Amino acid sequence: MPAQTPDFSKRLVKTATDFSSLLILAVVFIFFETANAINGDHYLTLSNLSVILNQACFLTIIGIAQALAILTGGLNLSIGSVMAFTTVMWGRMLVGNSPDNVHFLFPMMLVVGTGMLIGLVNGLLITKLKMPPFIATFATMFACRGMAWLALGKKVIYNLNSDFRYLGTGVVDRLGAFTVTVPMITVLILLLGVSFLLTRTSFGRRIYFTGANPVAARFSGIPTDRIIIWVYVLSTGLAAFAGLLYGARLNSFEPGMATHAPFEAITVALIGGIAITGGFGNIWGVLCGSIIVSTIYNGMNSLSVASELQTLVMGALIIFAVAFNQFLIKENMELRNELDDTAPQRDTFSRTI
Amino acid sequence: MTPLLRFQRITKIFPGVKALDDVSLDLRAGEVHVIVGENGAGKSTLMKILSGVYAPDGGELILKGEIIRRNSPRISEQMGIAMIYQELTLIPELSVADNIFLGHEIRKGFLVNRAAMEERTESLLASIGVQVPPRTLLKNLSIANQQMIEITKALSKNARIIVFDEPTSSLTSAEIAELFRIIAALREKGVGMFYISHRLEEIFEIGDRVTIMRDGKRINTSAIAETGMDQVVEGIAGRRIENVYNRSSTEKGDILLDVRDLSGAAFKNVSLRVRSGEIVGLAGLVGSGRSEVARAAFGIDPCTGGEVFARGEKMPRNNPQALSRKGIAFLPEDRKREGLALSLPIRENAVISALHRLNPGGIIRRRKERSVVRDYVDKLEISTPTVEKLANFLSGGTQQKVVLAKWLITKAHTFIFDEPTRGIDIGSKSSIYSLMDELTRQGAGILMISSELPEVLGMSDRVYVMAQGRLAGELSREEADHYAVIQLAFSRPEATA
Amino acid sequence: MRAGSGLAGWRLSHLPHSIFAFFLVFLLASLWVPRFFSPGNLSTLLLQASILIILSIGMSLVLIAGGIDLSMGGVLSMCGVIMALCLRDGVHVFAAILIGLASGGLFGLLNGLCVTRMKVPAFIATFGSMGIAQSIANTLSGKRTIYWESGSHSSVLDFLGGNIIRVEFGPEASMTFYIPFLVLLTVVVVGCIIFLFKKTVLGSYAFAIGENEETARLCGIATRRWTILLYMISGMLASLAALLVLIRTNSMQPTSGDGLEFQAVVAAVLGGNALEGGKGSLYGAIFGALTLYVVRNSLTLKGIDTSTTMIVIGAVLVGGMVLNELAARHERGLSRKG
Repeated sequence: MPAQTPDFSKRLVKTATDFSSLLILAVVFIFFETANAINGDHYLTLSNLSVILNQACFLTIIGIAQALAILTGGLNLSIGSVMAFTTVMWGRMLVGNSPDNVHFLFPMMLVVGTGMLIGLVNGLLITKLKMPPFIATFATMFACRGMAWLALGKKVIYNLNSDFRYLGTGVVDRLGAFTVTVPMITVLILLLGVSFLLTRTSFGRRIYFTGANPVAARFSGIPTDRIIIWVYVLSTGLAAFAGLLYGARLNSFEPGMATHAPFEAITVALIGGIAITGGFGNIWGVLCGSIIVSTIYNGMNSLSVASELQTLVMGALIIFAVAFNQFLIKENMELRNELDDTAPQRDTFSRTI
Repeated sequence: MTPLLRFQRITKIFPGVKALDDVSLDLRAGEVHVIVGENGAGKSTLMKILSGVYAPDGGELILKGEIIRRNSPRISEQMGIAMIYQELTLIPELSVADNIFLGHEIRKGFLVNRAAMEERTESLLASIGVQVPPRTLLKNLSIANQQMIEITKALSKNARIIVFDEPTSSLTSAEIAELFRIIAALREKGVGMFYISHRLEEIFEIGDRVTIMRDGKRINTSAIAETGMDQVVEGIAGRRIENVYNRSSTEKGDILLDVRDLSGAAFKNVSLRVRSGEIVGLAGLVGSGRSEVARAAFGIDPCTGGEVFARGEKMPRNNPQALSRKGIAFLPEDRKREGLALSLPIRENAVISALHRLNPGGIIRRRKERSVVRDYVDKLEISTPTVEKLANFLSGGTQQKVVLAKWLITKAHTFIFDEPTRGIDIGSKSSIYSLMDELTRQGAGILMISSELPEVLGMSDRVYVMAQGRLAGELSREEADHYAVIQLAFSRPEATA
Repeated sequence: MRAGSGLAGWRLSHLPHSIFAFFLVFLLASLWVPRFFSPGNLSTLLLQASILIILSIGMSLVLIAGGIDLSMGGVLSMCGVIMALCLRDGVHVFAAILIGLASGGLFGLLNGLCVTRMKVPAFIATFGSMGIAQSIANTLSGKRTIYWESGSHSSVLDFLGGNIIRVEFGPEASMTFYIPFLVLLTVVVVGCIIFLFKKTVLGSYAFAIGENEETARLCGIATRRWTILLYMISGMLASLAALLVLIRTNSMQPTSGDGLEFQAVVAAVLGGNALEGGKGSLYGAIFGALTLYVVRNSLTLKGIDTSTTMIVIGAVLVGGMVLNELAARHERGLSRKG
């Protein structure tokens, strides 16, 4: 079938809506490049890009953790507190001059395991006690923060094991001015894994279906409770893992860390095109979302915007990003429908995303 | 005589669809004007233009000889136009009086005059013969009573025109009779009424004139007295439909589904059996516990006693997954809410229950998946250009077929259909009936819950009838007729048991 | 036709469940915590809870209408800072309060517009505006506590900081029962809101919008305008709460409101307000807030530090939700039999 012009333009618009996060990213890049250019600086340098990407790594992990919960139609507010509690609880075993000679992987597993356990609690509260996810994870958020303070008080665990710190700060290779760090590799592997899980496994399909329509999911024989519990176990476990990375970078663990993490995670996930209503969104969008957020933080610093004002920008950003995304999702679905109707042979091509 | 209301050459275009195409129609005072048509024929759109939810893209709305230039839900209400929707538009946490006057409260200054509202509510309710204390919270009323409140609400606004959109879909026969009595009373008062229904028997009972719509066009308007059922059916479908129920005789085999003494919140000690090759009807009045039994048997709702066996194997309670893996399929009444994930494509909806079978090891095999879904799309004649079309954009009948495909792909042997053809146009209905027939010829068993007696009688090999949460009786195909089913449905099994 | 009428249909379970939770917690605290049931402590408790009561009433209004207002804490900080700055610069107290209320209302308007016009989920919209409000509070105050010199322009505040009633049961401070004007102010504000809620269309419309916005619109309710109004009321209540903080501490920190929005959610949810909307009770929220403060207060008296308090709040929330769920199940059971 020859490409007709209206059809072609529709397809173009649809492609644009498919990759909306990338478009936003481009706009953000161009904005800071121009703004810095006025001061006679160059913003988009390779070295700065690697800084942005490195900062985005942590955001990506908590973004994925949040995206998983949001995909089921839920939310995970316990992310930051879990990071604090799990690392504070086992962090002493990661101190450099620790007397007991344990390999640093062991406490890491304990941290992630504890995170998963809290995730189990989240999942049980949501499925068995039928608490709204917002409230359930909110309760664990409070409880975990309290336990973190209780465990350590007003102290800080610092001077961490150098092998462990390599995970957060290590350099794999330098490609010119661009530094490839260990977190980048970790996040890439993680993204590949989660992406595979969501798009290529039965479990992933069930997550999307449960999020898109939990009632229909039950009627279709999906064990929705089990799916939701598993997702929260994964999500909260990932949060604990993010806590390790965070601590490794700062060389310390403290009970008050990452108080804004759950919200940053929401921002990242939603800017990345995950629908707050559940069941819609692509995990690679989260990567885009985290790079966008990280670029904005980085860019504001490059323009010396006061930190107080940065919250304002982020607040406004999240509102507009969500409004924009909702509009796009609706447009995208309708365009897709029209294109389906006009192009009968289309499903012979496999959809890439 | 000028009509009460006239639609003058109304056209409404939605992206990609001409929902209404040059429709002209009038309504006289004191008449019940029935509008029939398949889903998507444009009935609801037309009524939404009347109520000001949509603005027409062409044509005019003429009320008592005057052209309405601006319209909105508020304006149409002030002009005396009221809607009684399929879904009730009442607020459970508010009292009856507050509900009736919601949006147009009687005020005293800027305060609400509750005393006056309650007084007026009482007299309005009395005028149509309903006894409910005005202060009762709505959530404490039965569905039928809630509907009466809805009508009272329309009356409270001095409505001159009332639109009934499928008002009887959740009422029992006795309640429908009550509704018709009230409609007759409104006719005496000179109220003009549009009445939209899929139940064709009803329209001959209550209507004065009937308008048939198809594909956004008005096909025909005629007086009920001069119109035959065949004419209506033909008009709706756009072709002559011989006999929609073509049930062939099939070999009856093993017991596939065996429900023993099942009890739950709304029913007690119900036992049912479905054999291979048979269609078993489950009839009864709305509220008799039919759907509840099926839902509990499938593990959706909790049950308090009894057992369910699938092919002789005892099933765990509250576990739809176990039943679906054992080959039991459930096709819910509310397909949009309970059957499909509307934001996902046909393909993902169709394979969702068979993921474990298609993808051992849990890794999706895309090629296989797509070819399986295409097979069933062809087999079930699902009209869609591609399997990637989002379920949201499919018609009711097509959606039902996708739900059916979902279960066929699991290789289910027992199908529980809850109101298989509710809200589905006549064309799709007959194809769903032939599919059901085809399934049983291949050895499947079907339990069909239905409120439509002709459907139950036309399709079932055996009929269970429920009344007041108990099994009132079982009828063979030969014994089952209108009279027998209704007699059982109105019986009091509790008193005799 | 089955229906209960008047008192015949009245059941104890119709009361907000948080009332029972409150009395239970109150009783336990009185028995176990030594200085809890003393006139002085009860007075303190009432004063402490006032701020949260005002916030949770605003939160409930929005929750009933199916929204949520996470910006309340941020707006509290912002309005407090604005009012404190006005006072520092010698603006008359009434003008300062009006400016504070106006800014609270303005943020409510902003929230309402985001939710109704831009169709952003309330949770996100108000979360974003929380960041904005906090940022304004920090920027205006330079992240420092603001003090002002009391003078003729602020004499009303000194008066409001005093007590209406003061009864001494004994020589120690703990034996002195007092009711500050702030508590009276709270009672007046809460009374006004409840009056508006019950006696005008506000309450019915909030329930209608929360239950089903489309339905409410079809009933002829201007849902957008009412939703915006509800957010504005909630914003103004946040600024009133800021006024209370201002008077109590005679200063204003730009972080005063941090986390209060969550406590308000907890109080409202304990009071039976569902996050889905269409359900809830203002009285419930008041008792929810009181319950929360009884717990906090008695833990403090017991010498248990704040970290445990956080855990306990989490537990109280879960406990309260379980209680609500059980009560709802019980009621469903009753109505089935009935």
